Amino acid sequence: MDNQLKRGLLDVCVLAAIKNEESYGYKIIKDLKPCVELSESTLYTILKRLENAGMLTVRTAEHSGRLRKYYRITKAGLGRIEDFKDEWKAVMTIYSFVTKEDIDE
Amino acid sequence: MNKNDFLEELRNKLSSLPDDERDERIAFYCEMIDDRIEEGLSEEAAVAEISDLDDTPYNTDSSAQNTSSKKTDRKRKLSAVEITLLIVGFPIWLPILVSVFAVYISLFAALWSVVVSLWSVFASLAATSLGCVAGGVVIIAGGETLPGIALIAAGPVCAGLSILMFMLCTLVTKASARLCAATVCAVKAWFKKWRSA
Repeated sequence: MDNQLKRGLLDVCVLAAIKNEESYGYKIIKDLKPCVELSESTLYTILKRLENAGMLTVRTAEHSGRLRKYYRITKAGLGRIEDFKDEWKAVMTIYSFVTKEDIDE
Repeated sequence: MNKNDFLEELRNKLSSLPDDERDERIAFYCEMIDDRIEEGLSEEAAVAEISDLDDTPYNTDSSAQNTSSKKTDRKRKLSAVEITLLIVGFPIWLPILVSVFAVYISLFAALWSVVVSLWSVFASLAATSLGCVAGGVVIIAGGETLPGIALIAAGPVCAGLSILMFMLCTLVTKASARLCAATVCAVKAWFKKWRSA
């Protein structure tokens, strides 16, 4: 898959994982497992990128005597998901066109 | 590989990164390992699940990296206004900072004084139990059987109490250590956040 496309998809996947409630790294990986396998390094990079883009915020809280980072989606992040849904309709239209060509052949 | 070895190897692989970014990545991996351990995995198994070190330092996405580097550069430069405010506000912020630090240290000292006191009580009880037995034997040898037996009987009571005290002391010491570590981490995290703001 094209790297740029894959990166965009993974960003939206991570945003979707924290859409309803704030979450932490390991839970995000577990929640995404049925859909996509993410390595820690990939997740770290995505979370950093989304944080820098203002699509999520991070807070550190104590958990069982240690610190854990929790990620919460922002309005910009929710907007990115909505944009993705709209963009995907266009992609699906193109996909239908492309596969139709295959069938016709 | 255990957690410490893994994190040490990670630290070496990330040596080219700025300190704060390296610490942040290491903290991220540390959290991932701890979460797996909390879920029931052994330390080695938890590390094995995420230790594809070839992939790790790793996937330093250029855009995230660049933004982060820019952030680091920005952090190091204070504007003229900030420098002026720091100098002008010196008589205000320094005493406040010193006071907060003093309170912080006092709380730590108080907490650890309690811990030391509890261990002292434990040591006293343990010593008393031995003293009772030894004293009882000496008294019996001196011809006073009844007081000697009573003293020897007090020995196991003190020993029992010292065992309970040892358990309490261990519990309180561990809790205090955890509290101190969490507080230091929280202050460190807050300071980092403040620096990067």
